[in-house]
Amino acid sequence: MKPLKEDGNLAYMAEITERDVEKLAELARIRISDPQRKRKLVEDLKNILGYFEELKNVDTEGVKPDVGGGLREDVVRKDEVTDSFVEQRLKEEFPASEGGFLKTPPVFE
Amino acid sequence: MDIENLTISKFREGLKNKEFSVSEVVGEYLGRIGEKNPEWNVYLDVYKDSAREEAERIDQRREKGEELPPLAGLPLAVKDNILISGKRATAGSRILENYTAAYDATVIEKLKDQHVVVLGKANLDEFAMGGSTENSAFGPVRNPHDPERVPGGSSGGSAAAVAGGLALAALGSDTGGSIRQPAAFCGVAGLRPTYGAVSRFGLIALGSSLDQIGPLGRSVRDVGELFDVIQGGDSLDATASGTDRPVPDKLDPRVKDLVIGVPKEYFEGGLEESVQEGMDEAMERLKSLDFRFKEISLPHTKHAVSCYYIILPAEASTNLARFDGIRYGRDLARDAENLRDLYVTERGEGFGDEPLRRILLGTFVLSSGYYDAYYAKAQKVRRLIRDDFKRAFEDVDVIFSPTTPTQAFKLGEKVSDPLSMYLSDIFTVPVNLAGLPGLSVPVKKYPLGEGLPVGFQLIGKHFRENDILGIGRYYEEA
Repeated sequence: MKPLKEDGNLAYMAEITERDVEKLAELARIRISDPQRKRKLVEDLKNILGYFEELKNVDTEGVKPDVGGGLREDVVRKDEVTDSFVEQRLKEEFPASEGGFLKTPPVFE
Repeated sequence: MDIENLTISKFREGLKNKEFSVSEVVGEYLGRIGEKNPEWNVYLDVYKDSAREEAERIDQRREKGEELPPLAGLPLAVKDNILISGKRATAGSRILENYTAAYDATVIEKLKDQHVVVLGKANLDEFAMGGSTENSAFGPVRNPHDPERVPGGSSGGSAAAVAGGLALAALGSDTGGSIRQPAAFCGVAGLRPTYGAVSRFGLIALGSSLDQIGPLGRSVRDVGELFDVIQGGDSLDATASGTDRPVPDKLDPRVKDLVIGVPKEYFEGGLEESVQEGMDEAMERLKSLDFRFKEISLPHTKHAVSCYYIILPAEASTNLARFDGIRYGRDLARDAENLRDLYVTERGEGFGDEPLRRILLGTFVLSSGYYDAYYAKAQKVRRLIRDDFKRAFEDVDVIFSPTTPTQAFKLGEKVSDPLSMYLSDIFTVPVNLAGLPGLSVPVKKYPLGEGLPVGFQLIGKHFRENDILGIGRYYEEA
């Protein structure tokens, strides 16, 4: 997944391959076992990323990135411990637990 | 009881005049749901028992002469990405198939204080990703106006419930048009409030810089009334400040002084003929009511789809990282050898095609080699789009446009071509990118079986919902 095409200092994806999709899925912790599903993804991502290249033509020189959100800034609250009435109910949603803790398969093999 | 033409005010009046009880109305809706839901697939869960019980409780209190809040008894559908304590919340996904909410969303708390009657959870595109409700893991929703066509999405179940007489009103969520577009396709009114007007606490997050909860209803007035109740600040959502401007309950003549801008970029080709005719009709009517129009320009509109479909997947891939198959009630792949094996298996099987596409797209645009070309670039373009609106709003007070370039399309027409689906969001996504309020209003009344609806959109300044709701009410009532 090396940047394949240089446009000024920006790297655009020229052609996304099955290998790239596998790498992205690996990063996103998703296993795509159906080969047809994988092929369709390659095709879709190729189309979509191809369309995005139109952004190359927008002049954004000196434009500050907009991270979105509303008009409020720096909303803080006191860092206090409070009783969470839902704690027990959240734990009930754990498919497996032991002694009040979430139970998972081992992290290390 | 003429349930297909009921509105909130008619409902309230009927109760007052003892034409019907809440139980009778709720019973009528449940009967219709039983009849139509197998075909339309509007509801994922129907709360027959709890709805009937709540209705009876309200009737008893009314009989005792108790003063109840204005929305008491209102039969409501709730999009299934909004949490109701003790009820399943699937977000239209297999990965949350067995997840039961542990608490109420803030909007639900507020509506419970009003004693609304929740009829059930409405179907949606998986994790609110889509414009047709065909991406639901639990099957597509049909448009009550023509079951061969989609209701729009992602709040397709909510819009179809209101249009088809399976609920008096509904809650949806709008990240890129997901309230307004299905409202237009189904011939109902739908409001996407200003970013920060309504708390998102208890909404299953999709794009956190874009998401808003909002109402869908049978009239602009109904939508305004619901908005008034659900809006407000919330210590559990730091982005929510509320508006402190109550929605007037009568026609507000002050909106007559507002100047309506018409962005030329929204009308430059690409509009289906029926939509163009609808826009002409709507403008004529507004002009006949003495509203003034002025042409404006929003020059970066054509880049909005690229911008949105970079930023949204980036945020969605991050938000959806929490669905790991461990914490939200899915049966674990118990034979997983290790934690990683469990993650990749559960996520691979649990997510449908559209979330998968967007997670990978988001992972890609955020990856180090490509971040600047895609994500950072999109953020800059977002600023340009926001500035377009800022400039336009120096000249005009409200902006008028079509809600969608076409009427409701056929099931299967676009679902295998995601890019063409994305491109049809062109008129709605700029509003989300700029954090503005947008209202979709049906051009006229659309009785079921008498043609496909068209909707127009009114975009307001930040926190000026009353401007667009006010004009929408004149359009419908004057």
